[in-house]
Amino acid sequence: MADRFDGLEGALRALAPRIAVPAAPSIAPAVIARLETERMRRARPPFPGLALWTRRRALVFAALAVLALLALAAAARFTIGAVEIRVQPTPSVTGSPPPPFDLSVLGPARSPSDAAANVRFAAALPSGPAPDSAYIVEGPTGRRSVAFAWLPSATYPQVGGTPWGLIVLEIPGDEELVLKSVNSFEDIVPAVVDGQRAEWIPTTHQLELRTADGSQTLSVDGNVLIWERDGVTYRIETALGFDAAIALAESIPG
Amino acid sequence: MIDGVEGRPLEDVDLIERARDGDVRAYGDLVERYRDIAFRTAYLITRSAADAEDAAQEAFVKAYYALGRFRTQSPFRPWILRIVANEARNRVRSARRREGLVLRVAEDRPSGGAAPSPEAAALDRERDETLLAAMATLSEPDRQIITCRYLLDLSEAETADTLGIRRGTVKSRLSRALGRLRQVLPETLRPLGAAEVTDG
Repeated sequence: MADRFDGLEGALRALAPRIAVPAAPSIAPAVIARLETERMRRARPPFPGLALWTRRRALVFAALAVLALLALAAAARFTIGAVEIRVQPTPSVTGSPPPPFDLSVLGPARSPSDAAANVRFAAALPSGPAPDSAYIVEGPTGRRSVAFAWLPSATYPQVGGTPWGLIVLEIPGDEELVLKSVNSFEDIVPAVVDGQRAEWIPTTHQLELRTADGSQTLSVDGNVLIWERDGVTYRIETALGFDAAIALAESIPG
Repeated sequence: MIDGVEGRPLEDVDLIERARDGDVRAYGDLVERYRDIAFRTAYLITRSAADAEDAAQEAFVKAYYALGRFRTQSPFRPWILRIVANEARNRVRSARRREGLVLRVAEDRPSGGAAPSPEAAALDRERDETLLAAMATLSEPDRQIITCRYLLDLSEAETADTLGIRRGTVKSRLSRALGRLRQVLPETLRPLGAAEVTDG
């Protein structure tokens, strides 16, 4: 990279000290005050009658904990059409990580026109270059989805961990075909495509693909955008940034 | 400031051990030690002084309660910066309008070396302003990786830790982000990036 962006990297490094950043406020006293306040609050009950207070407090905390757990369970998994997203920390490395999401797990490559003709919904493509390849994905109940793939190009830079520049997966209906696991809510960015709710996942995550042949866990390194429109769930995997991915998504005719 | 033997400042690991044992003052010293980089990180992400202060403060409070999970053989800086960056990103997602980054006025610039000629200074300033404007057009992920690597001068490993991505991903994302930055630069500054980005 250094040889390709030498000048740009140098200019950015030179820029750094010239950016006006306000002087850092004195944070330590406020942090210490908060920590000490919280410690005192925990250590001392606010009024006498400790035993009764403690029991009541325990009951209130237990009730709140149950409510919080219920809320967390609901919030920690949500769906967009045929894609379920779960927020659960990925166990830290014990054994080998799952293999990358390689379209060949879906079966033999087909021509895009052949694939589009073999699904029972109107598959649509984003504007721009035509796809180079396509794959049919059969869900557990036999419903067919289609994945279109583009080779890397100046328009679609290569997606990490794949030989492709762009992958567009189109899934009809709401049978859960894809389950995504991300580490935290921080990894999911709410977005909007054509006025529809969408989710942008710009970090490495895991994907469980549930097909007629069973399920497989794979890792995804590219940026992923998911949204649903008119009963079809769309999933784009790309190396493009947020704004370019949204523009690409909105170029798919509805 | 808590001093160790012979009046030397304590190492991070000693302050962390003391903080884990409930010594809030020792933790205060740790906060003081990292507040500048924490605030700068939060400010460059949120582009709001108020949000940056909130994010940094909240991050240090959360970090205190998470000290039990911190591995003392690891450096503290990327660990705290990751928490700061998370807090800052949370605030970026709010609807609040963001200020743009601006350059220091010339008199405020750090001294060092001979002063450039007025013509060179004007050219530098014009280039810096163009770079800032171009960065403002990038997506948040692109802007954040460039900010960590160049504006905060973090190493690749620290950038990975701060943004919560794999170390191997930093190079490729950075390359793509620089490629996109180069694309939005005006023709006169394009030579700063020498060639097309082709790797992933």
